[in-house]
Amino acid sequence: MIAAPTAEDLPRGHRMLVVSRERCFESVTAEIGSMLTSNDLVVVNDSATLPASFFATRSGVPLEVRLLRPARREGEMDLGQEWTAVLFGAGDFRTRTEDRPSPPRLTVGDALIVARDLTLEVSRVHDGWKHRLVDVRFPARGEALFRLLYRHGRPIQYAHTRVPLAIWDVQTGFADRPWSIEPPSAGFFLRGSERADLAARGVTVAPLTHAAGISTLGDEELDRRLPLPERSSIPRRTAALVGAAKERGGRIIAVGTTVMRALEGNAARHGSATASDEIVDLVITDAHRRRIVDGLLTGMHELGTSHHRILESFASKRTLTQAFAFAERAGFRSHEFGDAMLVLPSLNGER
Amino acid sequence: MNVRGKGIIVTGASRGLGEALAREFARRGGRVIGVGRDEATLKSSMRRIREEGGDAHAVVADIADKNAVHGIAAAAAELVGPVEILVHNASTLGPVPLRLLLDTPCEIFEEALAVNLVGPFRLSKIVAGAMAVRGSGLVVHVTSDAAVSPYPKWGAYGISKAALDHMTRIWATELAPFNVEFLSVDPGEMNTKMHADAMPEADPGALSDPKAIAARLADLIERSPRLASGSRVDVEGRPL
Repeated sequence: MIAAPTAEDLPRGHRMLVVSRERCFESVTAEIGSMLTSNDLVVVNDSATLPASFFATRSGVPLEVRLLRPARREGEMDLGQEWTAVLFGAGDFRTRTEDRPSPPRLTVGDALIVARDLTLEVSRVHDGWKHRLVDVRFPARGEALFRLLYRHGRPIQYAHTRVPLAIWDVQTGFADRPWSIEPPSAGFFLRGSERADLAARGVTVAPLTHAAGISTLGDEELDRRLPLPERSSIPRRTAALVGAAKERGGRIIAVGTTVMRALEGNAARHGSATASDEIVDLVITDAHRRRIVDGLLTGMHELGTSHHRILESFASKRTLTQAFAFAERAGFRSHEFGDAMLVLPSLNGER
Repeated sequence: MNVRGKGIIVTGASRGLGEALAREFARRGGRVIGVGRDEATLKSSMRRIREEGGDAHAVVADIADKNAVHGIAAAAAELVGPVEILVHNASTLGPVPLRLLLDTPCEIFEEALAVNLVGPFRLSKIVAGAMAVRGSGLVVHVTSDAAVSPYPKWGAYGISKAALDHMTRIWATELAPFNVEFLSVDPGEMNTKMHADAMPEADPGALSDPKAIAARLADLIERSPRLASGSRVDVEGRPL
């Protein structure tokens, strides 16, 4: 599939491949509302995307620091001064990630100079991660930390975009708490107009906040450890809406694989949808039996990635292979700003 | 809507009505983010509120700066979220001293639009978007009678506020299905630096105390039943 160059503003939204047990066909994201009923519940990830990429030098040698998550001490949940980060060597979005050189080998105490008012101090080098995973300490906390983050950080870039992505290019239309390192991109498909259409049809959209993680660590072996555990928060209202929808036989439609991970991880731990703020480490494979999520809206993803394995919990390998072959022939576009896929169990409203 | 426990953003919080609003909301138990450009003044204003027992944080940023809005929204969401009330109070007069449109530099006219209209639009896009999926929220635009009466020399300011008032109505209509509400509130003439810049010859004794105005505005927000979304009112809630 062709990687999409930029996010487009289309009146009818993106092309959308609809996959269900009966058949597979092409539609557009503007038609999502027509495939759902007021019995259903659409759940989105309302995390904002952080400008998580920092270009720095250590003793004059350039490198890139990509924040992964706060380096939390026991019991601490807030965004703090210390962050776990993955290192990349010199280069930028014009170079494919796999072609970037290795980063310099860092030691505890190293000063990574980002700007005149921002030096990151290396406070830990993680064992067993090929010297690519470190903890870095920011020189401020609270509001001052945010100012440094947003002044000097840039969104993580992708090699297939024509111009660098700005902070406003990587937010969904409901972005709230800044927990995600890369955008929960399925959320792009629900623009204001799609959400207005859903509201007009009586379909409720409810949020949860899930820290979408990094898509690659720049090393094939390390990438097999993804996804890492992620912080996930389900508000009381959303948990109640999920329970009510289930009770009346409605479908829970997850907008994005992060929402699926959040809801299924939550149910695996608590039994049913429960208000929570915790770390989710569930990895969804084809063997996963879904407890909560009935349908999934996601971007087209290449076969073989961890995202594709999630699709296997909805449909057989055979159905998915046919669906992807259809998509390939029809010229669907993959990756972060590409086309959409809606997986529904059935086209007649069943779960 | 009760202010207690709610996340609230007030722009232009370094002084004047904005500072008074931040203090009043914090006094009523709100969790406040005060936004302003002047770091020293804003930080000391928010610090004084904390010393009085209120929950207030300073976020130093220029509301007209496209690069700053996401940082404002993110800091607010993380420090006091969920944000349930957003008060767009930060304003610029445009040219000071005030002057006729014929004498107003184009760039100053654009700056008035940038601060008074486009900045609020950008921040509302982010914050009201999040309010919409939560199914509740209130956005207040601080306006002026200069938006309605064509006072000579008040062009840049008045025009930006007239547009802001129309933005109240359109936002209110579009976000009604999501229960996110919008109000334009005209606080009247107050004894503030902005008023002194605009009308240096005015008698401060004849002007309202911003603290008193802030208390009435907070009452308006806490009133139940609420005013119709999209309304343009004075601080007593009377339609204008």
